[in-house]
Amino acid sequence: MTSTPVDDATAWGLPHPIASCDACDAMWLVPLEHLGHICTCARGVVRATSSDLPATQIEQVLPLAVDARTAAAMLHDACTPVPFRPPALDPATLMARAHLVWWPRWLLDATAEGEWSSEAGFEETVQSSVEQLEGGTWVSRPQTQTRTRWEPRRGTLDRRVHNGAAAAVADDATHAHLARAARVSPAPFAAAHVHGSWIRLPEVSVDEARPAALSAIRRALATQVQQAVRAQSIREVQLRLHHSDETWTLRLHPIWHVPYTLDGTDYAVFVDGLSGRVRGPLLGSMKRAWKMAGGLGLGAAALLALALVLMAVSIALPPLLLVAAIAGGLALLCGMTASYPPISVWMWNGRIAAQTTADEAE
Amino acid sequence: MTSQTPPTGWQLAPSAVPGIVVYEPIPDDPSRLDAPDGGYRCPRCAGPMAFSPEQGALACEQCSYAAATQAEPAEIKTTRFTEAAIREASESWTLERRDLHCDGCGVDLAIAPGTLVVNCPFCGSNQVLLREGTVRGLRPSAVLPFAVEHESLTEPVRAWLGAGWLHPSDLASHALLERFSGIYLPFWLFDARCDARWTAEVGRSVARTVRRNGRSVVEHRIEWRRASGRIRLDLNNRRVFGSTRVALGLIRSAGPYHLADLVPYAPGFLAGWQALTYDIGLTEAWDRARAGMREHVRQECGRDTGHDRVRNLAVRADFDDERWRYALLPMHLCAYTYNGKSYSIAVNGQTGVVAGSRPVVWPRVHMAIAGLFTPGVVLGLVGLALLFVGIGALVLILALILLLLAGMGSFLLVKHALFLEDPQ
Repeated sequence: MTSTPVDDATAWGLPHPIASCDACDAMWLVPLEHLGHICTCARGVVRATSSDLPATQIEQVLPLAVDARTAAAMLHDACTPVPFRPPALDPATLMARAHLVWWPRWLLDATAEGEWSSEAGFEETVQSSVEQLEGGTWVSRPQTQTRTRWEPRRGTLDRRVHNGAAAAVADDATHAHLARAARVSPAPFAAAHVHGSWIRLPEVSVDEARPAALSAIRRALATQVQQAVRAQSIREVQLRLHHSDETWTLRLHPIWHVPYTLDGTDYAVFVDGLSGRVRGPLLGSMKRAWKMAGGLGLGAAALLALALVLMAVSIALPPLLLVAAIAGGLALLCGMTASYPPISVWMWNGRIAAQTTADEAE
Repeated sequence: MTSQTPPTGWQLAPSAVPGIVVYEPIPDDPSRLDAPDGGYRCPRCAGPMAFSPEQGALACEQCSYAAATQAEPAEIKTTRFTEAAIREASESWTLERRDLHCDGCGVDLAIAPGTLVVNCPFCGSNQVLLREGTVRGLRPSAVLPFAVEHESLTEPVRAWLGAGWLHPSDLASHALLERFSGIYLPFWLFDARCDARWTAEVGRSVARTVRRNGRSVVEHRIEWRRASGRIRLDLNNRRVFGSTRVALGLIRSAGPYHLADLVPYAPGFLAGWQALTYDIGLTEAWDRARAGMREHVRQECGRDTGHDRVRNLAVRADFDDERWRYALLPMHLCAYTYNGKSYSIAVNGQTGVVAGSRPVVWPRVHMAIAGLFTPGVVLGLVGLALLFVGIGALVLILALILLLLAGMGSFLLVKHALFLEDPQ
């Protein structure tokens, strides 16, 4: 582990004060002018605190690849399909409130030595057939299919494996999938990379992170074993390993934090600073939907009233009955259409909520 | 540093990643499945050894020393229809071995070294030639060991010869039996899974009462409707005989084999026995097996309709996981002479079921046919006589029916007699 004790925030070359969220207790280094802003958890605000900076040195950053303009374009694309989009989801408004946060992850480099065994799957081409009985005669159509032949393999390994990733914060699952998508080469940490941004401080020690990091290393080794045996697939991988020469690195990952408020509730949307992928609840405005439904309902009521009046008058002037029928039909149409806005927003928001839950579970 | 010494039974394999050493199982050595030069010799007295059905092991013919046929238990390997396997089956490897060729019937036999062959077991001919050379053929993957000894065959075969009234009464006592030859016959065994979807029109008889000419009449008619279904079948151990040299009828008559007793091939099982080489290749055998499988699938789909009346049955059968084995199954063959004519006998080497050709006393067949026709002819004559008193028509109809039944019986009797004489 390469970590150096530090006394205060300036030891990382940054003038930011240490802050913490009053709802989720997440620790941050934030620019002075951002104190009091909404935390990424969207449940509280960050306030200055007297806590100490963790005794850890940041070593790497993944340089920002998605600038504010690109992030705005990504947000625009993501917001376009939102039904009855609230003004808060206007991309320009969103980006005005957006700020960059740097998310920490632990990376473990280790030398793994030991034995492995597995079943290696090799694809082979086999000849098969489809037989068809039509009119009492069988017709055979030969087919060539690809099937997997499983063979046992075993061996030994002595490999240095890099970047076994593990969470550095308790709520890492929120952004873990963004980190997995990273294809950008890391750079040594410099204060210039993160100046003016928020930095999430690590709260998971390397001892706590070790099982997850070793698990990631074993997954990487399983893939390498598959490459070593030149198999198309692999299963039943068993590794009996001894790990040594472990080196820990704290790496920062850039994410655009885009908070917005809808109907009095705070939400947080994120744009990955490397891939531009947008994630978070982009909700439709139920208030707008009800307004639209109310307008249509009023229109329907007015048309219905008109139809009734015309029906009454048509007793004396029968041709008006046709106009009354048309007005009645339009009233029915308006009444039915009135249900569409709230239903569409309800369905959209439900889908977004389910997707958010699935993302967090992932 | 990692060890480069493979564990027992494993060998070093190429690795595409530095730092990862790969071991793979050592493949079967094909020569392990070859019999030793000069045949099996007893380690105690150096006498010749042969597989003994009684002991289920290699036994010395001089000192009764017994040894297991297989060094260690193994499993029967089935092979998929990969392009490589099909190519291997068609091109095959060559094997140095001794063969017997019969100029009488043209059969080729693989024989154990040291075997003294005088007569061909198929036709009894003594025009046999021993030849050394290369023979193309696949190595068997399974064998069903002999379970019936030569010595125990004479009595059941004599009993079989004496059975049946169509054969000469002295056949059992006057037939000159040659020596029995235990021969492993080549069979292809096929397994496959089948996912069959069928559509058909199924009919059911519907009765309804209609008024016709003022009377109620019950009418039966068949209502047809479309039906469809899907069945999945496991088609295992479909057997195809791999030789054209032996009459298929003879093999079938000797009854089925219990294939659950198959064991992995080891050359020891063939010690002291002969083996017929296949001349029907894998591809041709698979075509035959598939035809049988298709017919089975058609019958099962017809059954799946749940109706007796089915028409326009259409089936789409997707075959999957097709596998094959080449197996040797045991048969005792023997030729015998009766009245100067040669006949064949086959005895199932596993179950002891006897089958073969037997001379038929045709005058007995003719007598039997005459006996079948007699009631009809007599009744016909009586009917003709009764025509004069007015009731002959009914008797004549009865006579005609009896004559028809006699004709059918005669046809079946002649067919059976021909089969007994030559079960081709």
